[in-house]
Amino acid sequence: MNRSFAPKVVTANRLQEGDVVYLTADDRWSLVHHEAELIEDEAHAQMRLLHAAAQKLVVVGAYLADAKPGPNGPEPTHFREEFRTRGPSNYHHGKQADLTT
Amino acid sequence: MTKAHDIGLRMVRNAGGEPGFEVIVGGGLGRTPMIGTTVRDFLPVADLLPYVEAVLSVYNTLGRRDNKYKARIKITVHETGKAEISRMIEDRFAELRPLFGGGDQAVLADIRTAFAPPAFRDAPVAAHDAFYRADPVFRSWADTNLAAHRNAQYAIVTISLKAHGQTPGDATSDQMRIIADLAERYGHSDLRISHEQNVILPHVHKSDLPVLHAALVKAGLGTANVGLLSDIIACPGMDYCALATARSIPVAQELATHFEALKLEHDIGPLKIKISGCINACGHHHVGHIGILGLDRAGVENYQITLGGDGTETAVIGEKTGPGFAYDEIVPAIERILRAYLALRTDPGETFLQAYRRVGLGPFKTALYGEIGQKDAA
Amino acid sequence: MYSYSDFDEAFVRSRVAQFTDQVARRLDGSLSEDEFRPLRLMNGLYLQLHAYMLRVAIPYGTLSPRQMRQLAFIADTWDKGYGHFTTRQNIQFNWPKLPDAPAILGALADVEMHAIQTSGNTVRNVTADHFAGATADEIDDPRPYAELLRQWSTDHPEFQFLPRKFKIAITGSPVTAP
Repeated sequence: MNRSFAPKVVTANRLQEGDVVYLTADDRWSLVHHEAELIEDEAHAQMRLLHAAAQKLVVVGAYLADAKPGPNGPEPTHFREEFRTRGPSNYHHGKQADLTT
Repeated sequence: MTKAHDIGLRMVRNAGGEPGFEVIVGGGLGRTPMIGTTVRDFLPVADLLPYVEAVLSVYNTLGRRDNKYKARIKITVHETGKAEISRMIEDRFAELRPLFGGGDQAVLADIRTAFAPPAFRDAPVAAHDAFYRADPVFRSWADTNLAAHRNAQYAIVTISLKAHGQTPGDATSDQMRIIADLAERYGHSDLRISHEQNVILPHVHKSDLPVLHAALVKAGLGTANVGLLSDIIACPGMDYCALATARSIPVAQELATHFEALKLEHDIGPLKIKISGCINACGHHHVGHIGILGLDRAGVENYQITLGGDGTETAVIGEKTGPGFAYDEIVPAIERILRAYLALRTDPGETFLQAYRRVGLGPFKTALYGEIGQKDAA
Repeated sequence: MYSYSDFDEAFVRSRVAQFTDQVARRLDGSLSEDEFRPLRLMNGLYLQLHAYMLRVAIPYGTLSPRQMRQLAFIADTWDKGYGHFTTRQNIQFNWPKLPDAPAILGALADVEMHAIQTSGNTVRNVTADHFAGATADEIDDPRPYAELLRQWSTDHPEFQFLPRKFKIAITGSPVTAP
């Protein structure tokens, strides 16, 4: 394993709804960051990104985002990715609402 | 506002009293803020389309397509120079002008009929004047949210979409329907959206103002803050925008609620705070009296302050104060600036912008960073 | 206020029909995202952080009550019950879903509105001072000139691919409205 490689998750937006989603180890797209596959190897990351990008009818704009392990699963490291796990801060809209209903 | 656009058209009169446009080209905010260059002091109104087409045509040929950060016409004007670009525009204009052949003027005459003034009502306003004297809540709203109409019996009403703590510029569907109803009932069915993210009823008879105000208050639209601190303009920022580098909306919300709690905004008086969540400057921070720019500094939201900007016909790009502030520090930082202003203004009539122009950045830098910080930053 | 000519009406309707077809082809896979992206942006549909965003032009910031009610209807039917008025006198809906975008554009066309040239390297919505036709110190109402510029710049064949976006502001008063 490459020690200098920062762990990643594959993330994208759903084509139809635009929702932020994460690629899981069992090839689902989850709304929940904790359920993402935490990828710790650069070559594997590129493979998973290609796999995601090929799903043209499911997601848009797949990319690799930095993440770190946490008690409940992967967590984002940058504030932009943290906001993407929730939704806007001015209203209880987006995933923060969808996931509690 | 005409000085910060790709083309600004500012109506003026010539020595003979005829209307025309001062044509200002190459203004803009964003990554490289620039005040526009006047390429024509007076353009007869009939020449508008061929002249604008000439500007577009020159830009289309000359504008840089190799680098999107240098592609706006402001860079073209800057790199080409005022004299040369004016000459190119005038040459192209001379070619284009005969081709229009008056067709555009026929269209314009037709369009004009659609913008005929409404049938203004003639009715007494004495009851309004008495109500204004008697009701302090109405008076407070009238003093901030009304502007002078050309018909002395009428007023221009600005409906604030900046209730303290709300998202600047947002309206619920219920509020939109209420505004539509009120425009029909009291506003000659005319509505405007301002670039300051408020809604305007441009023609309201003064006798209707008290009942209109009551209806607005009931709908949560009666906030009396137009032109004051909490009338903040803010881009969507990182709560929505994929390009943003930091959030804007919660900064606007917290500034408004903080100063509302301090009951200071009426004392502070006219103030334009403008917040952008990235250097593209959709929140026009460069021309805010206080501008706030949200950036990503090493993975943390950081807010840079500019002071003294002005978006009117006396346009000025604000000056950076120095190092930025973290999300939790930005509201206290703005409070330090405004406390310094309150302490140094000559009298309550001296606005923040006037005081800034008198004393410059120095005292505000001291308020922000302390004496040592000022030396470091100097 | 200005009402669409037959030409304006036919143009906006044809663009709705065209975009309806383009969305269908994106959803069935016959258009890739790279092919579709410029087409949706030409119709004001962005993909933002949490969702799509539709930016609707409000020409020189002027709206009728009927149009305002239609914006409310769109907010209730296809969004989350609100809209965001922008610093360029437009309105943005923050939560439209891609399959609904054609219906939203159709509802806008019903009240002579659209989202054309709210994105891309074109002449964007012309802004005018919001007190036009009412303020005391105005030389002339800027809205007819703004409308003339709107008609001239809409779908202008020479100016659909400018080096960059292009914004025009017009004011009928030498002094800026407060």
